[in-house]
Amino acid sequence: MISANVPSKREQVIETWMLSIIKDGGVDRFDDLHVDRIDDKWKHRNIWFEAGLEAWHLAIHLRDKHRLDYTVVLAFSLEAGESTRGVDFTTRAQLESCFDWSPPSLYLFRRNQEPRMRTAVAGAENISVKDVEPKMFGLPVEARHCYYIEFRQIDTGAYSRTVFVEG
Amino acid sequence: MQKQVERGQAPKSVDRVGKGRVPGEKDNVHFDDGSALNNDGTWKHGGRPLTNPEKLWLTENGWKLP
Repeated sequence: MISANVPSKREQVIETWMLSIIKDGGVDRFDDLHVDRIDDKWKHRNIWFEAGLEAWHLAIHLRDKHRLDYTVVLAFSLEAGESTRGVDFTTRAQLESCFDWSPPSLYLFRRNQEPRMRTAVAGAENISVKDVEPKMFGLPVEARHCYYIEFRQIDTGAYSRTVFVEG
Repeated sequence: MQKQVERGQAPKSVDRVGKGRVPGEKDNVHFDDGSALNNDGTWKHGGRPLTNPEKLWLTENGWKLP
């Protein structure tokens, strides 16, 4: 997945983010890195899927290079409303059509504190976690876990829907 | 709030409004300088004094200020 001609700037941006949030507490603040902050060319919605996976692979490579004991998580934010929707996609194209306005982003989590483990936390209710088959994306996603989370934000009443890819 | 951004009704410095995607994560505003503020007034990324238009817009939408 990591091509030989990937500009080093992308790796530099991800590496700087990764090392800084471990140092300054950003991991606990959910300080994520959106793909449009990694590369201006990744601003366009039609390449968010591939950009997200490319960024995820780069981040895993850098995590391993620095021997960091964290899980790299890629998040695709989906449109949501005032009620639950569940997993309403079975193909990559359908998933992409569900993307909301926010570009995909990378998170770092300590082991065993990944999003799928957060089923009872303050500020969120009706938390639903469902596994998603990586093959539906049509790409060789070497994910440890791939899943969908939907929950209701208690303070706003709005639902949040996201697909996460862990590595 | 994102609709307000898209309609040009938010301060120009606001890039977008992000939803909390991880259970426990707050909704947040991304500013064009890269900083991001949570709806409880804590900084998610970066941090700086807010402008008066930013303060007004956030409080009108029920957000807490840093």
